[in-house]
Order: sequence, then structure tokens, then C-alpha cells
Amino acid sequence: MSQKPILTLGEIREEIDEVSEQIERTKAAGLPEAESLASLKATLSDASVTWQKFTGTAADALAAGEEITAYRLLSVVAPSADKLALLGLGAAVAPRLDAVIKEIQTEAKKRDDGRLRLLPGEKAARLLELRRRLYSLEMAEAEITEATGEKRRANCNAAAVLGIPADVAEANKLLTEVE
Amino acid sequence: MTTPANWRPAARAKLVRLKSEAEAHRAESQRLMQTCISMTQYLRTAEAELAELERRLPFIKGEYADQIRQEIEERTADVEQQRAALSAARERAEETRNAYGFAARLANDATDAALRIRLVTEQEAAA
Repeated sequence: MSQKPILTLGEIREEIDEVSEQIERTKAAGLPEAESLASLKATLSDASVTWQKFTGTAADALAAGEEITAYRLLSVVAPSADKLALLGLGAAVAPRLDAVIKEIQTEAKKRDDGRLRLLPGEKAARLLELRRRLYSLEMAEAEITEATGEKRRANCNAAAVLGIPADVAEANKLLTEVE
Repeated sequence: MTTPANWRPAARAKLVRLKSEAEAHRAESQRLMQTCISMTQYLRTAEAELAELERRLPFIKGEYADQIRQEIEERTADVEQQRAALSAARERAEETRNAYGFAARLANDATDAALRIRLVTEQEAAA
């Protein structure tokens, strides 16, 4: 049977810092490129469709010899501020949708900061796993400070200091939130 | 790491201790603040008396002037000593105030956690 190595308070605190950084990195994770691109395409396509509806409505009104007002045109395709924004976006991108997407992709590659990319489910699972790890370290830290009288860490977890078991802490949302 | 089966009484006892630690820090912080205020008042008085002696010195002649000079010298040393002591007391008061801030934050967080898991009642938490 293998035994867990016993860590010193300093080592535990180093690991706490490391896990806290991992939590921050995970929280800042973006979507995988394919998912992010798919959402961009969907939004721009939606905007293009709104624009096409607008030109269709205008063409119908013109063909019918109507007096064309902004209210008449916008009431059909952009009855809300959100739709109006989509219409504006559609006017800009609809004539060259594929080219716009390519331009954005090229620009995004230049700006890639190498951050983690995770699906929402993966992100949530990884965060939970890291928070569990962090809490077990904080419990170990609290045990040592309790026994030795060493100074507590400035942002120590009160639940761990009280010795609340991990499962109870998790069920009551007391696992550390790293800001 | 194993969690003892009787963690609840142990956690309650820790909560009581955290609260009393915070209270002790608060009392100590307040005491040091009062000390700083008294020391500041004492220093201001000593500075004013010294200034008065220095103001009078040019108008005094003879043996009495030598006495005044001697007194100015002694009081200057005393004022400098008091300033150094006040500076050290302020530093200590600042440290204690920070320690109180930390202990109070921890006691509050621990109370919130205890309430959330129903380790204590609202009444007990407020006590």
C-alpha cells in the first residue's frame, strides 16, 4: 500500500498557490476554436438573414407602390433594439459573409494568447476537481496551523479552518471561490 | 486525511475560539489606539512647553538663562524620545489593527459557513 507523502506547511501553501492559479486559468478558459467559430458563424448568419428580410420587405413595399417610411420597414424586421443591432450588423456583413469570417479568423490567430480552451461541461468539471483539491490542501493547512500555532494565511478558507468535511463543504457551496 | 466523526462539536469550539480571538484583537487594537492618542497629547504638551522655553530664552540673562538652556536640552531629548516611542506605538497599533481585520474577517466567514451548514442557530451566531 503506497502512503501519501507528508507535506510541510510551506509545501502545502506552494501547492495552494499553484492550484489557485490553475483555477484562475480554468475560469478564464475560452471555448474550443471550433465551438467559438460556430457561434460566430451562427450570429453573423442570423444578422445576414435579418438583413435579407429587410431588403425583401423594402422590395415588397416598393413593388406595391407604398410610401416607404423607416417605421414601415423596421417594424417588420427590427421591432426591438436587439433586432435593430442585428440588422445593422447584417448590413455590414451580408454582402461578404465568408470573407468577413475569414478576416476575423486571421485576426483571431494573431491575438491568440494561448489560453485554455474548454467546453462548458469540461470547464465546470475541471473547476470542481480543482476546488476539491484546493479544499483538501486547505484542510491540511488548517490542521497544521491548528497544531503548531503558525500564522494563518491571509485568505485562508474559514470552512477548512473550522474543519468542515469536504463533502459537507461541497454540498453547502463552501469550497473556496478563488477571486 | 481523515475527518473525525465528531467534527461538529470540534467545529463549534473552533468557531467560539475564532470569535474570541477576533474580540481579543479588537480590544488590543482599541487599547493601542487609546495609547497612541494619550501619547500624542503628551507629546503636543511637551512640544508646546519646549517652544515656550525657546521663545523666552533670548529675553533671559545670567545664571537663570543657563538653567533654561539646560532645561531646553533635557526637554529636547525627551521630546525626541517621545516622538520615537509614538512612531513605534503607531506602527504596533497599525499591525494590531490589521491583525484584527484579518481575525474579524475569518470569524465572520466562519460564522457564515457555520450558519450555512446549520452548525449554529442565528441566535448563537449573533452572540
